[in-house]
Amino acid sequence: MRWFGPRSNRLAAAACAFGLWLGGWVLASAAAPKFYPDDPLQREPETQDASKVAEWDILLTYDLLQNLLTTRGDTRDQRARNVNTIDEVPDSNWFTNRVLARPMSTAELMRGPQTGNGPAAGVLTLIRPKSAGVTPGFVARDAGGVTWFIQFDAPGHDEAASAASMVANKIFYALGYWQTENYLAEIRPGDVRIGDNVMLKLPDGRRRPFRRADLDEIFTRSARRPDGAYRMLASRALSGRPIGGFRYDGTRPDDPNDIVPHEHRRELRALHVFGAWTNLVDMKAGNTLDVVVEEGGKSVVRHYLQDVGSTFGTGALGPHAYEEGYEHLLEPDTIRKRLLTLGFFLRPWQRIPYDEHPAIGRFEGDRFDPREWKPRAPTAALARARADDHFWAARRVMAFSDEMIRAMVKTGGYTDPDAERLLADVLIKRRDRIGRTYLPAINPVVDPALAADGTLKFTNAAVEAGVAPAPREYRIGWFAFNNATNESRAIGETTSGSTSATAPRSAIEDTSADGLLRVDIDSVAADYPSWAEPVHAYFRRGDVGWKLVGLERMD
Amino acid sequence: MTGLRVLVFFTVSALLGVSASAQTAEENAPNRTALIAREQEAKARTATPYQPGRVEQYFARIEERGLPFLSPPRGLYPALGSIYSGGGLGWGGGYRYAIGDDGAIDAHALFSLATYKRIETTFQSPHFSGKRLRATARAGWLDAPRVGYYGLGAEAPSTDRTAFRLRETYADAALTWRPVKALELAGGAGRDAFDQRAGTGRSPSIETKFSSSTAPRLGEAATFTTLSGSAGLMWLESPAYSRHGGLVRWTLERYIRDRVDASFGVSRAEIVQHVPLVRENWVISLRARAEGILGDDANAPFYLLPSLGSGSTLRAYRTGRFRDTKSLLFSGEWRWIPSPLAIDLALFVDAGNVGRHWDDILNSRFRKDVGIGVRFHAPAATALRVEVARGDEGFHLVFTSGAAF
Repeated sequence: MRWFGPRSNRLAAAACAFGLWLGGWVLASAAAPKFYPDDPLQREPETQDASKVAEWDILLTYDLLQNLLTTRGDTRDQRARNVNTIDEVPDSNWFTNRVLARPMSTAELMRGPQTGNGPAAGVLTLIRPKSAGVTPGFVARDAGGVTWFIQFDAPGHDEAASAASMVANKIFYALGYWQTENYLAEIRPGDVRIGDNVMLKLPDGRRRPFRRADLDEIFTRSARRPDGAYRMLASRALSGRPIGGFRYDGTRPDDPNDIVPHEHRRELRALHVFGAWTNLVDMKAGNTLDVVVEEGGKSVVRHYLQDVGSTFGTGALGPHAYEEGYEHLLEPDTIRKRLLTLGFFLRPWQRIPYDEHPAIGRFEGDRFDPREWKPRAPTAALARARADDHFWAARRVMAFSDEMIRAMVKTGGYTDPDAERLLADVLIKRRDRIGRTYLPAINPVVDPALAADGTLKFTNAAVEAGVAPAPREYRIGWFAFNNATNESRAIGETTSGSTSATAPRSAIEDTSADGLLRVDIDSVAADYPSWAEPVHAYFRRGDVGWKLVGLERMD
Repeated sequence: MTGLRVLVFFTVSALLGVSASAQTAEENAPNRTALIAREQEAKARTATPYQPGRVEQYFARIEERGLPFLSPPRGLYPALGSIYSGGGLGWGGGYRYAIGDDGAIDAHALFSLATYKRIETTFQSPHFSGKRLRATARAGWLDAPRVGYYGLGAEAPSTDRTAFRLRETYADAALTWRPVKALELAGGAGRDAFDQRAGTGRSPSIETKFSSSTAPRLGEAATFTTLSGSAGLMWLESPAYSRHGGLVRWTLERYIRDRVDASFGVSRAEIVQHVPLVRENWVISLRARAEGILGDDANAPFYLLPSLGSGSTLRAYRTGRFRDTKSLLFSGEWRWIPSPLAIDLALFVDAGNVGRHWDDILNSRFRKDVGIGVRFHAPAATALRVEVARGDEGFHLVFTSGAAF
């Protein structure tokens, strides 16, 4: 029997192809479960060998102009794509959960990423001039053969840049970022010898041997202490193969494990909040560093937030300009308004009073508004941050107690106790502002837990932080959830005047075949209408109770 | 019948597709880690190192060798610059040979649309003595064929505009010493030969309206041995662009002819102060400048007399509009800063006068102008300044680089 005549062959082939595709698509759509057995991931998988990733040079000027003049990255409003199913960031070579995720002792906070005691005693051998940045310094090898990046404070601003780097280094480490090991030490010019074949690059691109006069010139541009010593910030060279910084948008094309566009990574989006807290205005690719390291028998790329020194109120050479933290370097709309109003379009930074201290610079917390904070240049990851990213970050900021903040500030080694107190006080004020701004901005229900007996407990992060009053009641919707079809079937609804509730018996006993229960939690609070948008929590029945496998705060 | 058969084929295929997909999903994505691994595997198959585009490559070259026109060039380079006041922007080329860290020998030639020409070789020693001392030298020739001259004094009518040609051959050397950052002392000596001739262009040539009594030393060629010295105290960021600070500078030049009794001097004093308001949202910039001939006025050729009128003095007046043996200039600017990184705007007023004696200047009418301007700047340099000024002779457009003061 002939099914088709010659004229119908093309039609038949098309029907077959379309049928196969449609069948596959239907099943793929329907069969994609919401949760897999290994959810929620605690660590971001890196399955591919990255040993072939090549070094790249992100050009300072080009990167700056791109960020100032173009819109970088994917601009679609979407949930961070590297969060796990419970809306948290898994550990990775980008981020390690520390503060909030677990208790951190004062000793751990003050130690930060340090693994030793700094440069070995004895002569430092200068092996390379500093190739980037305006801070006076050089690259040296200590008596133990360890390589260090040495930086000094600017004259007139002794302790400012080095202390800021130390403190910010501890803060960003505690927050979860990969950080370099920083140490404070003192040095005298006679403690440095120039190594063999060290070359200096001149402004016009020529190179010549590095001389003692060049070293003297570095010390001339550095803050000298009354006893003739120079305070230095020594950053230990990272182990592994440096391959240049990371951009805040897109992915590195030759890193096979880098599959989430950086503007959609939550820990990078969260830098809007962390940056605002610490006034980390110089958030550019040039201050980051990727390093190829061996891990689990293969090469992977580790991403360091390497230079967090332009923080608080100071830059490398002195206090931040007044507008830093409030304006990008170039803002067409602001320029237009100022131009047309003869400059009478005034911004907050033009009127804010500062308690200026030479070791701290311009840093204040009374009029600080994290929503208004801006780094020097627009940064794609920060621009894509949504309310849930801000909330996630704000919880971490709020996890630092006053004592924790004061402990980290102490590592700045300020000789003036007033400077230390000022910085800690401002950080505490800014922390509280961040909490008040971001925690109540969306439904702040966190940490839902369902006991085997059906007792639901959760926390209201805004109420717990003392930045919002408790709502009159919480509404809790109970659903059986079909993981295969992603369909929910309502079981019942309860209310509670506290952050605890009991599941309807039917909810515990009568769930879908694969044993998932969806619990929607919202509340009515007159001042916070966004709290009426429920948080969806998903629990999977286990051998000993219920395990949280999913949490959705925003679509 | 064909339609039915197509439908059957489609249905069977769809079922096969469902079956195959189910098998694939089951085998390849048993968990989240496997799903992510699959994406990473797919990227690994196509991963290639980053390839910078043409623009980025150009920026790489700039970062390696410096910004064109802002960083010192190496080898052959396109040159831009001033040839002689009022001659417009000169274009040309040059060759620069670096000496030491920041010294150079530079030879360049410039030509402007007004047919002004300059050929010059300069030597700049590297800084020495702890970057406090530097020697410079230059030798060159220029031809300015249509320099304006209106007569002496503040009341010289604009309708008397004439033009003269000036050719200058010069060689000089100087030493600059900065014992401390704020203080700059300089001294130099040289040889300057001037050849003044009939002017070209639309204005009548100078000799058709003026004589040596109204244009001192008209038509004379003159060769001078020159001595100069200056002292400056600067508390601003950069003379080329500042929003705070100021300077005081005094310069003395001595022009010695072969006959000592034909010599003269020029003294110039200037004070500038920038007063920032509301954290440099506004800046009030003030300047006073006095210039005068020392010795016998009659020995100074008219083209070396102090003058007012240009993009940096009386901005509504043409270059060299007012000349005499003394000049006094005041300028004030109210600047506002739309972009601290790149853009300033300014409302300005200039007032100046020239005369034979200081009493004449103080007791006669000052020429004034007002205007508005925009400046595109870097942290320590003004790349472009465009200004419109209005005085009692009408509007004048200024299009130049460098700070007004």
